[in-house]
Amino acid sequence: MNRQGKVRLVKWFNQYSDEEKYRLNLDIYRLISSREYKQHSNFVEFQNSKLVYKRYAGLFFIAGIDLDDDELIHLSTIHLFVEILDLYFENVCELDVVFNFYKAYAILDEMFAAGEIQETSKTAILDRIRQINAME
Amino acid sequence: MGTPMKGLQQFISDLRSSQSREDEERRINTEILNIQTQFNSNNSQNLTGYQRKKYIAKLIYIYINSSSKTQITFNYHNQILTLLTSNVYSEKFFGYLSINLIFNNDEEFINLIINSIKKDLNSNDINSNLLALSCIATLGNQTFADLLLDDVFKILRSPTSTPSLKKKSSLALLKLLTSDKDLLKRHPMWIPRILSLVDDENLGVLISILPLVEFIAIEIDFNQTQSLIPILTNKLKLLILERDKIPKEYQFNGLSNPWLITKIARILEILLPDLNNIDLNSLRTLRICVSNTVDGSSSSHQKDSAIKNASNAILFSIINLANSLDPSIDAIISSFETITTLLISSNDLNTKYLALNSLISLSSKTENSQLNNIQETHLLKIFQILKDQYDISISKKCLDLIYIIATPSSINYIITEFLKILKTSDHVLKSEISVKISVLSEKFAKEPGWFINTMLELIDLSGPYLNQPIWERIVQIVINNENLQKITCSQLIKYITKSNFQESMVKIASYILGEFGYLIQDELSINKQFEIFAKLYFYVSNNVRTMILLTFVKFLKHSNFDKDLKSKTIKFLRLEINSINAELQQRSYEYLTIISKLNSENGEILFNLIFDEIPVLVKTENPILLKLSKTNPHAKKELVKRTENLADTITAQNEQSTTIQGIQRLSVQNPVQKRESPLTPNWEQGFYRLFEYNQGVFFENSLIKIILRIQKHVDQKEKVLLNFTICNKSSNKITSLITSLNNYKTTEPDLIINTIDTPDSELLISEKTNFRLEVSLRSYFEFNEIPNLKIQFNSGAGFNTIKLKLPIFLKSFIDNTDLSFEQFLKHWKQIETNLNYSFHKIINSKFGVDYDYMSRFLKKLNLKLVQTNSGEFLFSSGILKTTSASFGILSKVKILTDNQIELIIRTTDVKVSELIGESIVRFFEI
Repeated sequence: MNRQGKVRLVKWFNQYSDEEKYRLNLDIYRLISSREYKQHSNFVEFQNSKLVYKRYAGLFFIAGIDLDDDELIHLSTIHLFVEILDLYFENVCELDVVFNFYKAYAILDEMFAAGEIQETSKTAILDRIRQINAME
Repeated sequence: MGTPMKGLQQFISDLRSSQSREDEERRINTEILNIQTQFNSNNSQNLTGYQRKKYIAKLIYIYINSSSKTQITFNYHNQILTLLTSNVYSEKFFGYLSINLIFNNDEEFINLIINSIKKDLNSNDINSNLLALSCIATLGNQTFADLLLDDVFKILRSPTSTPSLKKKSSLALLKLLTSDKDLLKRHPMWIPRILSLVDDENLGVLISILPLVEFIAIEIDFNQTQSLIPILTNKLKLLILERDKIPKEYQFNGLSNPWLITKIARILEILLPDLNNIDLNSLRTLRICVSNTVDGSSSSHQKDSAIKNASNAILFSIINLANSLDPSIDAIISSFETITTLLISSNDLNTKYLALNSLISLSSKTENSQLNNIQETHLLKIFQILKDQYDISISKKCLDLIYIIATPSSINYIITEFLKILKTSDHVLKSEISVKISVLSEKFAKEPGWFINTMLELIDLSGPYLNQPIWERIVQIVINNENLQKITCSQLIKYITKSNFQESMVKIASYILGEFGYLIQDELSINKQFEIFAKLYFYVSNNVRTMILLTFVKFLKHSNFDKDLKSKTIKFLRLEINSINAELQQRSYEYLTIISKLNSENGEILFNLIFDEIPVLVKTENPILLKLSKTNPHAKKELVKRTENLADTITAQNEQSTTIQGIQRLSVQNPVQKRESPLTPNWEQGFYRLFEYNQGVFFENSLIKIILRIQKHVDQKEKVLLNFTICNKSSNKITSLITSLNNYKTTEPDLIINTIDTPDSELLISEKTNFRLEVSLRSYFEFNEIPNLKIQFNSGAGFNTIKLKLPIFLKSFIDNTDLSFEQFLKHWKQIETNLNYSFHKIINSKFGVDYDYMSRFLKKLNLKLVQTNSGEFLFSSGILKTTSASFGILSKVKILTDNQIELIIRTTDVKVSELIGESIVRFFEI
């Protein structure tokens, strides 16, 4: 999600209707964008869950986690995802994600499944993405 | 992923260069229209895979980026199906991407493609397998589980599966298993095979299998998972102590893999509720891991925030684990000190947040007073953090922590500080603090005066941000505590006569002074109290006005119907009689009517009855605690646990006076209670249905359905079991469901009713609950002796009472006897000649009857038909058993016309003949 609240990449691991998705996006944006980077932590409770988020340049990376989940590790996960995007797109920027959204999804799917982290090795993930890219 | 799609890139660029929102929407709509035409044209089959993929990619882009305004309404399911079944990877990829993103709630469509997913799962192409697994991991539900569970497990367990397949299938399996927790219980053989995968050499596989292990440990089979403790310990050792052996790709900026460490630590914490199940070797290894991590953390001063976060994540999870490894008080104190230092020294907000979190969980684990002392020394610092904080997440954590560590010696300081902060804080925090103040001050109330002063000050300060439960609770407590009533009244007067009074204060005042204002008559006459409210009346909302109207009427009662007050009250009521507010209008109309009857006979009695003093509230549930439980459920458990025993402190102190009041009131109210409320209309239907059948619908309305099965006791014929099933038919949850018996004779009863099970008090929509009553027959009983069953419950906003006559019949206690016709005639004559215990009646049945029906009916009465050659009469016999006696029963039935029956009953007791005879007559004639 960028600073204007435009969604660039989103994956839902629970089922929501389109209307709910829209509402959630809006509510999350309002909450996150109201929090000053210097005065607030990267965690905030949201409805019956917690949001862990971090801003990299113009993009917010946000993960919704359970209330009893560990916040810091998810913050590290976000960072890992950004590092991988950065390696793959070589100095990633918002536009890379915009134009190659489906590649970003492919990376997301190599890193997560069922809302859990599946792989943390950058090498393993990038090798696999290159392999996919080589296919027709 | 195939050649780049120029059309897609062009489309995205176009959108980006749009001058305005309208421009952008126009471009999107044109594109949607274009794609729709392409897909709907006759030769859409001729579209190339590339074109199809490109169009779907555009639709996905539109979907992700669109606001809810842009709706893609046309149906392109067929195109997606074509992509899914394509042999080209990139086409299949886009097919799945669209399903995962766009159609994840379109169940019909997903059911349609599930076979295609199954095919990909079983294909020889690994890439197709992976796409299918990924889709299952995203959308998996029970339908998926029914069809695909075995296939997914097969992939996970296949020795030939690549690490990629194992990783995806493990998490896909987790997704399916969580959809229904019983699934894995049906496959107990799977559990050891899944658990053994923890030993997989590939760390990626380990990461993906751990969530599944955690799920099994918590939900399915704790015991089997325990066997993993040594293996998990070894993994942790590898990660922490033998870092060099970890492949570099699984390190994170020089740190050992934090994801693995935190996850393993968490699972170990689950597996080690105490130290009974861990071998000494593992325990020693784990302790070394802990000390190594804690020592390492103090020496590293990382600048890079990402590394710092990851290493703190490791530290916190290891500290949590440490507390389960060594739950001694010294260890906990030392952890507490370590974290507090971190909390105070760190400027990093994330660290502060997590440190507070850890302290909360630590503090809640121990009740030791020694620890409390340590906590108290830090109280000042925690308050300092709270005051300097802008971040609501951290402020809330501070509040929770202070709440947990509050002790009798620190409570005064805490409350004073809270009240200070309340003045300046924003509204979210205000509401949080006010809840905490009210619970704490109730918990630690040493004297009633202190409690009331604190609460009233709280209300005065929090103003409109006050939570409703708080003022309700105050009223609750004051009503239930006689010694609080007077002082509360005087205090309230002070607060509501202030120039900047709070509306919620007026609410409490109108309630309390209306009830107990007369107690302070010496200081302030009721007339003067009336004047205060009369002035306030015009400054408050309608909602409060309705309350004040009642207060006026109560004043009137306490002033012994003072003339002056009466005319003033009537003036106010008249004022509202044409109010546009329905509630105000209704109340003023009703009050006026009752006042106007005051001069009539019994008018005063009626008035006093209606405006009687509020009875002591029996509901002990504290509404504020409900409010608390809405906060963080992790902290909730601890918070509620800590309040449970203390919420009653005040109430307990005054229990004695409460009971006395209760008794007095009961005697006053007795005459009222004697007037039995009528049975619920239509009760007869179910009642007589169960006279005929032993099982059936006893009662049904739009909210609930009650099914009843009457069961005879196998050995003791004088006992009958009533099995009730209540189903919630409404579209709301049913709460506070209570059943009770009334009209039940407790002295010398002919029927003894024991409650065996009581129903659940809460019923979700279409849920059922059972309860049972056991009825023993001591002696025969009259119809009006049958007790009533009262069922009360809340559904939606309404409170419902259903009152039904219990279907207890003498016939249920009849046991049949085998008599030959000769024997029958002999007894029949005996009773006739010796005693005239005969019941004889011509019944005019409401419905048509014939011999077939009547013979079935007699059997249902548990009477046995006597074999005869007579086609005219039906003879039957049985024995009625009570705990003290048995009565022989003989009956003779003749059908006169198709709705006229002649019934003769002869028994060994005149009353029994009459009662059984009448019950049969009632069945046919009502």
